[in-house]
Amino acid sequence: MFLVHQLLENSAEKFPFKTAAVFKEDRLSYQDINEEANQLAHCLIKLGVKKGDRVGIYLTKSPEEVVSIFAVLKTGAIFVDINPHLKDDQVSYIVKDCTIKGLMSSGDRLSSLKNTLDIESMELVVVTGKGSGAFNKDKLKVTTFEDVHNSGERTNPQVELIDADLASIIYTSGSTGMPKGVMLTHQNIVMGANSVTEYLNNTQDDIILSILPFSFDYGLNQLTTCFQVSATIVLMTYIFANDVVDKIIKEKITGLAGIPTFWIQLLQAPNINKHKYENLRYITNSGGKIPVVYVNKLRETFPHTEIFLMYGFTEAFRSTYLNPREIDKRPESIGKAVPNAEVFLVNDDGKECIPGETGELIHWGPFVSKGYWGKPEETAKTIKQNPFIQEFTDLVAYSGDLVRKDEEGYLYFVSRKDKMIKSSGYRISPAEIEEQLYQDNRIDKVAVLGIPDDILGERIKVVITLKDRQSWAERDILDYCKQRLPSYMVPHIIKIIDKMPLTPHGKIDLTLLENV
Amino acid sequence: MIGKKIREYFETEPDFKEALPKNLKDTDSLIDSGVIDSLGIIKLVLFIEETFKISVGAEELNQENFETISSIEKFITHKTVGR
Repeated sequence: MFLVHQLLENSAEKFPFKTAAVFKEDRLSYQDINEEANQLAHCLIKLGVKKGDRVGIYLTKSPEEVVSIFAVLKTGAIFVDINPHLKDDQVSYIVKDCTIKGLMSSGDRLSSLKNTLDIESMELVVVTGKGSGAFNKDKLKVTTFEDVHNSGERTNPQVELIDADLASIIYTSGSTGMPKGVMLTHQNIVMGANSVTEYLNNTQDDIILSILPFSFDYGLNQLTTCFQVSATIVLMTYIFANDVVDKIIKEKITGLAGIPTFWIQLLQAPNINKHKYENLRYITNSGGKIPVVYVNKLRETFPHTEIFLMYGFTEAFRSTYLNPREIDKRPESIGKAVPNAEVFLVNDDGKECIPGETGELIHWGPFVSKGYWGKPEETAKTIKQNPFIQEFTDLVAYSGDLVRKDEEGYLYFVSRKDKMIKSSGYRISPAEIEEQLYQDNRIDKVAVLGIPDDILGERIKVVITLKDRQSWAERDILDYCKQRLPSYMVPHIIKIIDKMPLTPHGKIDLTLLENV
Repeated sequence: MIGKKIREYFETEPDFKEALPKNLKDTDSLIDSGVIDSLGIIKLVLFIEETFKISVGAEELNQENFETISSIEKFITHKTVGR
């Protein structure tokens, strides 16, 4: 299997009636999903979707989202799964950046996307759910999921693709400016699934709970690994820890992937200690470090469960994992390279670090992405020639993370090299938050910084000077942020001060703002 | 009346009003439409506790009680009956 949609097509051929996906009380077989995806793919092709076109998906976790992803892949186009928590401003930025041709979304959501649908490249819209939505349909070709369902063509489309073709663009925040689209080939995604299924020992008996968004490469991986081994994925929008506990028991979940804030909230669910979780074979963590006290609580709460602590960055999917056997000895480690990847630590002189020395982690192997869509200069700063190979062109990904290795080769995350904030499992660019604030005329200067927090990773602190000190209150600035930013980017602390401290070079002195 | 107050809250609060679908029915899922997320729910619960003078137990924080405006109304009514 070389292509991402072949993971689905293969499973549909071998196990057509096996449950592929569960959503609330609905169970869909591999054949159901594959045929729905085929019908949608044929429709998209008729509407003019061609190989290499970008098609966006802006839906909450659902069978429609799964079907949409695979339908786009089957046409040879590139899917751009957009986090459903993003608002019109962020969505329109993404669709403009990659000149999206089409969007799959619900009628309600489409009605709220004023700027997004107006973009020049947008030609078609596929509406899920009931009704066709109240939005300007003038220059768009509109079809509904209901129309597609009755369209009849259930066979796999025959499109010529190889695994070097792009499959998806995943948007992630960059250290300066706005989000960047990480380009992933079919090979990147399939090789990533291969590696993970190997170290997690996934089989078709697995029942995997999906609570992370598919707009995250980490979340998407549950879907690809599940389909690769013909397992079952249980789709869920995570809101309540209580419901997750109930779901784990009800669906006899064998595997669950989360991020630190999720694990900490889950441990506080009132019903968490009512069960022994004998079916839960493994849990995984990425997107940040779980404080050791919570790692220990997880071990107590899930005594039959292997815990995999992992590390990765979107530009190279996943780099390391800690063998569960080592968790006793080194619960703070991110482990060693995953199968089919190698990681190196390089110091400021460009030489490989010795044990105990901290350096930047670089990733070598087939998960290294093709860089950022439309941004060759930015790409060149991250995807570079392997410093240890001169004989041929060979690209590695620089993580921007500072990591240390111990005497036995186990790795430990130290800190970010740049000013990116890691909060609630997300990598957040201060520049994006600043961007929104600077749009208001009352703002003089804005500084955004991360304050270490046990639970969130970092809390977002914003320090502001106004042109007129009386013109805006902290509380109202918070409301302004809530309206324009997804909730995980909304600052936790807002402070208005009279004068911004500057360094001798005239830049804002962030170190002095930590205690403001 | 309870349902109306909840709807008004969603219509006016910055956290929620952007994501609120225009024709949201009392029986439409607030979760599937993205109105409520895991961070917004905390604010909603505080509002409910202050406005209706009830205390929401940790074990009551689930989809069954908070999925739709109707279910929230039913939950609050149940908690205030007998006072």
